[in-house]
Amino acid sequence: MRRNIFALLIVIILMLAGCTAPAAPQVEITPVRLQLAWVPTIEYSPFYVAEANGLFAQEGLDVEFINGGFDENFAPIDQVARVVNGDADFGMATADRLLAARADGAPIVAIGALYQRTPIAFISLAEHGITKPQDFVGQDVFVDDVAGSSGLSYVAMMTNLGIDRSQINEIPRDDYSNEALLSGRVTVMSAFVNNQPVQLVEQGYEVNTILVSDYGVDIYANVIFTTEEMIANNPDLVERFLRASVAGIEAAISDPEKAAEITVAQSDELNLESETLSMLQALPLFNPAGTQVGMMNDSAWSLTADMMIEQGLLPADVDVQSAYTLEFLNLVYGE
Amino acid sequence: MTSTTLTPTKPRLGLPSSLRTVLVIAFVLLSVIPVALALTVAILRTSEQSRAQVEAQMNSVLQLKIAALDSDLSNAHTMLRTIRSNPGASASMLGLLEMSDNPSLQASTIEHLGGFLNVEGTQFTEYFVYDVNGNIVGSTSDTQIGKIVRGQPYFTPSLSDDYIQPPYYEVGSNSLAVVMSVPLKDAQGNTLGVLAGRLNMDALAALMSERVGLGETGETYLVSLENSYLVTPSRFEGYPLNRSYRSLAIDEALAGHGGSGEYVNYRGREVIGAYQWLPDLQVGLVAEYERSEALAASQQATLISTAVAVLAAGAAMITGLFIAVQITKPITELTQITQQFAAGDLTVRAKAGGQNEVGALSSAFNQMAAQLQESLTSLEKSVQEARTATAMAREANRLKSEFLSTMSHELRTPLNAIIGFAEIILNGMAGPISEKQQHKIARIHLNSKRLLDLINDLLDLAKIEAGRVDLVAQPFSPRDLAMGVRAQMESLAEQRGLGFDVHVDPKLPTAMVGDVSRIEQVAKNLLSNAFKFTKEGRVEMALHANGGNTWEIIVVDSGIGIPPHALEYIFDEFRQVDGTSQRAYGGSGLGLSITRNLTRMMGGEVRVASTVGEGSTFTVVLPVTLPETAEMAVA
Repeated sequence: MRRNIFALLIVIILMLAGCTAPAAPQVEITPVRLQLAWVPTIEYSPFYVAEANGLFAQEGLDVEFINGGFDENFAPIDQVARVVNGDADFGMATADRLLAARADGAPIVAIGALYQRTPIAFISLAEHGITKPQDFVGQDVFVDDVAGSSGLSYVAMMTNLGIDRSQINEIPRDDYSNEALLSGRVTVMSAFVNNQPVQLVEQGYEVNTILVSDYGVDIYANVIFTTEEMIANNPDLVERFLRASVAGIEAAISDPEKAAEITVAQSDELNLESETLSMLQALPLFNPAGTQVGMMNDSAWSLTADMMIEQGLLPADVDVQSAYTLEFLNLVYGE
Repeated sequence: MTSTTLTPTKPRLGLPSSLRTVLVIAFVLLSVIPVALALTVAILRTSEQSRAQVEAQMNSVLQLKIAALDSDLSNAHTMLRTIRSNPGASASMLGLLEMSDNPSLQASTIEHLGGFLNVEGTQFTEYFVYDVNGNIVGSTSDTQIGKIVRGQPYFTPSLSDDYIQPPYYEVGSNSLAVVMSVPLKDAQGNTLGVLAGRLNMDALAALMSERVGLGETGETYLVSLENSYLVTPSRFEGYPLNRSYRSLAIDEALAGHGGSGEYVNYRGREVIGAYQWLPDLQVGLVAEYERSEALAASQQATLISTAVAVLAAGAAMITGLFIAVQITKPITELTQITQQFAAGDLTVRAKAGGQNEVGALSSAFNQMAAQLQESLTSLEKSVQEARTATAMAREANRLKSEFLSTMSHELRTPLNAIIGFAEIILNGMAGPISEKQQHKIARIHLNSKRLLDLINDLLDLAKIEAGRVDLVAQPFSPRDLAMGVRAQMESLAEQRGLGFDVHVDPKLPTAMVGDVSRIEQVAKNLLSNAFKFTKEGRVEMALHANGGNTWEIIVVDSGIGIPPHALEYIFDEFRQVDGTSQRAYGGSGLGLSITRNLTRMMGGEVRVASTVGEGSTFTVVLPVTLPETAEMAVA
């Protein structure tokens, strides 16, 4: 009897010890700043969803979103410079912008991509019967600066198709609204497939959309980048940030309506109905058949570099491979 | 016979006592329980059978759709191979792949492909040809020419073999596309390009929406592995293709399984459905039917059988009620008749029942009633006679008493004259008389006195019997009463040479209420009696408190006693123990009778205990009435 009580006491003590001893390892919350390239829009929905669903928190991250676009003096925000200067830990940029910045000496590296396909398209009102790039001949086309993705995509697409651009009335882009198209000042302009066409269709216009990706032009529209220093010194943080971001893409595309709702909550400028439509159109951009979300591939990077070299935007001997790394994506996908 | 024996006994707790109630409950239970049981079993079986039937039906539909889909896709591939093996088309396409800039080869290719697009039953909306770099060199849709499909998911696998691209979401569209292809090879077997067809999704939707045997809510649809979008449209509004849909069937099918069952579908409806993963197309096929509609027929059958069962149970209940009434009605009537009979109406008779037990009971009752009536009639007659005789006897007695009373009075008057004159003579007021004369006159006087006493007693008794004595209640002292009686009787005791004592119980109330003169008369009667029958010894009188609400006058003598057989009648009129005693002891023989009558009138009784040769004890028991009690009674 006495021995039984003694044994029981030991068991109880062990149980109590068991309850207190293996305290969960204290998760250290790391503050992370993400410099966006633009104001809140549906393309960033994976980040907002990751935040709302606690995916960043699961990785021990407290992410601060820093909007891009223009500063209070209406000067464009240089998101690459901000990351390089240490004002942010991660940034968003187009693939061509990143390659150009690296060529200028910025020590930045892409670690993943949100859209797997470029959203860049050329749109026209259906009444003009413009259904392919060849139809641009003889039209007034709003042309963007070749130093940006849209301008570069235009030039590359026309070059690929061997279309004589002298036959086209190219008007430098000076208006980013739909006004020029609707007023007839231009008949063709660049757009994002999940943005302006959606707006115009909503407004009751019939729109023809020509995707540059259908003509072999596909520039990553929003790569996640960080500094070489960060990758060298804090690879774990990079991996955690990318892991949560990839999970955010998965979560956003699995419930697009919810993703739109969460994104709209980020800004007073956004309208739920439009963003929902935009998100639905963005789904094949985020996750086209046969791809893994967040993934990048060598051919897309080299095609982009080739276009830029051809346009004299990059030196011919540029080291494309060093501009991006699949290391962290492979870690995220367990390869 | 008392009427209470036939009143119905009180119901026992918790159990219905009425035969009718018991019968009705029994009929209801007997009719409803089996029906309810049978119905439940039937409904459960029907429901399970219908459910199983619907599930089997869904499985058949599923298999039909799979077969149709397989056949369509197979036909589609066959179509592409047919085009490839068509000499004209093949030559144009291979030529175009070698010389993509040749307008005539392009035109020829488009013409050939267009011809096959117009073939009836084609599953394609577009045929297109691309080279090994993914450049579209020819297409039935001219906007496609010049596009590069290198980035499309089907590109790489399409170069080596016949291929079907599972549904994929095209940028800039709101729907999924399916592309099927066959490689185009030169004579050496080198792939020069690919002939591809864009599957007509409307035809696929039509295939799925052929809802043979699927009612208003049944549907079949395809769900893509990619984000679980609908490949073919929902039959219902408000479910666009490009949304993620979830349900047990969708999840299971996309996980590579097949099966069937009941679940809540993507619209949140309860359905019975079947599902199958189709690996070739990388889609899940679901066939489902809303449970409510699928089981409506069996539910209606259930409703009808329930209604029939309820009606049957109702009919059984009514029949039961009717039978119960049939059984209990004659019994109830018989009970009423019996109650009337018990209440005294001997003429009532039960209605003649049928040949059954109740009928037998009725006739047995009637027989019994007739006998009873007869007995009672004769009994009543006897009682009536007895009553008449009693009344006559009473009247005779009363007349006798009245006669005696009158006679006694009439007798007393001359007797008083005789006594009076005898006393006058004895006192010498009528002149001197001789001693001899005096002796004779004294005898006359003495006998006249005795005669007067006799007559007085007779008068008293007669009065009592004639009901002419009224008791006068007034307060009295038992002690004074005792002293008074002693004073009156002392001389008699001395005369007889007997000891005489009077005791009064100190516990007796000092004052009581009663007719004191009658009580005194009772005491004196008993004492006279005692003295009369006692030759030597003593006589005692005691007034005794009983402690309760009675008191006693006890007279004890040491006289001759009364033999036991005589105790029964010593209180009767004119009785002494034997005929000789009257002569020996004198007296009217009325004293004890008067005593008893008076005692009874006062609410008391007389008891006697006696042993021959030793003496007798007479005890008069009287109720104690205290003055306060009397006042209260008056008040």
